[in-house]
Amino acid sequence: MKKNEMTLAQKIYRKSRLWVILLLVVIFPLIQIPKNGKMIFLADNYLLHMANISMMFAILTISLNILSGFTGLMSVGHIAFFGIGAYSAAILTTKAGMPILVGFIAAGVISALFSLILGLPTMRLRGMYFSVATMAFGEIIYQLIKNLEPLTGGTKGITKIPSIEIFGISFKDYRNFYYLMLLGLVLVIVLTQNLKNSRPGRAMLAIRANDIAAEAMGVNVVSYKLVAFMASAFFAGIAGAFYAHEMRYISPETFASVESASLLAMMVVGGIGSIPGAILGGAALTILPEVLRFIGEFRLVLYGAAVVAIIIFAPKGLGGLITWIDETLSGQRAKGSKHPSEAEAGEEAQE
Amino acid sequence: MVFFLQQLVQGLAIGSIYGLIAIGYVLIYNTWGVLNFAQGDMVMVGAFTVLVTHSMMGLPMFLAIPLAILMCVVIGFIIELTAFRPLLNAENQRRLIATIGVGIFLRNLVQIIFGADAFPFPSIFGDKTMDVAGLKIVPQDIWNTLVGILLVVLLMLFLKKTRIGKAMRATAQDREAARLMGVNVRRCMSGTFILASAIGGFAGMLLAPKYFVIASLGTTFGNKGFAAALFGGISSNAGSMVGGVVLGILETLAAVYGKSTWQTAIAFIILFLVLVVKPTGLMGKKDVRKV
Repeated sequence: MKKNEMTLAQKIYRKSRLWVILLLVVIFPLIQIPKNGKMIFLADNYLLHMANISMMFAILTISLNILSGFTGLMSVGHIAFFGIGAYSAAILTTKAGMPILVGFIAAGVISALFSLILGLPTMRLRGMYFSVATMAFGEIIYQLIKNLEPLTGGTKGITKIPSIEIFGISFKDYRNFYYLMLLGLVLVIVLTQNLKNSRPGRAMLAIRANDIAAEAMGVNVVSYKLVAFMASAFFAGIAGAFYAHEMRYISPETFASVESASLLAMMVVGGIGSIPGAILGGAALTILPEVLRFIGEFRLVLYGAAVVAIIIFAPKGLGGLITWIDETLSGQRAKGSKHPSEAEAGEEAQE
Repeated sequence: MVFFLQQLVQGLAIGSIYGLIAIGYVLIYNTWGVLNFAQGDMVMVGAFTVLVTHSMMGLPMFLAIPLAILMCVVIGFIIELTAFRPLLNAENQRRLIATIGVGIFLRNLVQIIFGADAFPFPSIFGDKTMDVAGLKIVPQDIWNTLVGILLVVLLMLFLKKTRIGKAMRATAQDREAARLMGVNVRRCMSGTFILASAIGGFAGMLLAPKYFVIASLGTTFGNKGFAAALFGGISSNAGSMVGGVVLGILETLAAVYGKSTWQTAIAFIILFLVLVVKPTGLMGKKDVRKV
């Protein structure tokens, strides 16, 4: 079979794949099923809440991917930017009485400013040293949130965060919020995809591949790293604002440094650098502990083991699996070629 | 002045334990090239093994501690076999996450087995306060300091003088060259990992009488040990002890002269400053990048 010849099924699949997924996620909250003679929504509030949190973590994982997936800088304290965003939005809307939109924008901008402050002295650090600096930053922010009581409410947190209302439509309802969250997620995906394909995006990918070579080719390594860091922090801050308005209550424990680790796990389980992977990883690791609730205390043990297993047995993560299925279905994968993850893993080993 | 010296003794005692934890990070980092985020949880496991052998099985201390260390060795070996060895040639990021996964696994497994309550543990070296030249000193603190420093000195002698130690250092320096020189690299890497686990576990045993035995022990002390390792220089065994002691003293002083809530933050603020000013740490060698 020649490369350009596709069967009809493959053609249909290629043209429709995105739209089918989009359609499915749009109608998901509206599906009704009969139960006890009445029509009820398939997705109850609990399920919708899970979906919302999953999407929020998807945004967060994508934001981490902009930094770690694109430029190769590992942030081990990324949850701090999420926290800064959530607290900025919460403080501005509750204590300063600002409109919600201002809170949202401020959440992103303040997060990005913090990343600039952290980034300026640390951008010349490489590899592990940068990771450790972010970890220290995460811990410092966590302690600040916990101890700056007049501003953050200390361990009690902030309550009564207003729910979102735009043009008179209330997003207090989980079903409405779902659509708002979906819109946010789609926007973030589009922006990130555009960034990836732009000149700065290519420069970032070059830095990840080899920063010395990139510098030799005329890429300003430090400033592109800084741009990636700020973009990453901006989106994380936005995700934080979503979180604050969805939960309507925030407390420091959500932003403890342990959470940064689960965020990293989401990224790696999804596949580093992969946007569909980030969404899947974010959703999978949000839902997994909930699904495992029936085995009670054992769920976190299993969660830890599952993370290790996925890393060992699926080198490219869930994103790699998606690419593989996608290429098989659309006929882009030549017959007899190796599994993409194997092929790429082979290249890595050669380096 | 007496008050200041008093704090210094306290800082030294906790600092030498930080140093012991830090050396586990350093050993594994230099041989395996990965930061083992499960090292803190190994400390916690160590505290629990001695709880099992002493408090539950009722063995006397001089039997309980060696048996507990043996248990740490076995557990360390299992971790190495399942989560480290398969990923030896994988990307750094993936290996890092795997160690985080191991940490989550250990922490929660222990919590299921023993529950979330803190267990008290009797003092190994006595906890009655003694009066030495106006200073109130707890024997436990002195012994922790001495044992910690002695262990590091022994470890360094072991690495410098013995055949196995030299092989381990050769493996850490250049795996390929070591293999060509007839070193059993596989076994050396396992050995280093097990050694680091045992040292981490032992640090946990020293912590047990003072800080209770609880599943979350590893997170707090793991982070401190890790900060100490970076502070002293991740490439230096002696540096980690120096880093640990300096960190312990600074932390104690900050808590006394500042606010007690600063105690946790101070470690990280110091760490942050060190990274910005001198990323290789106090005693680290400069690493040269080759293209």
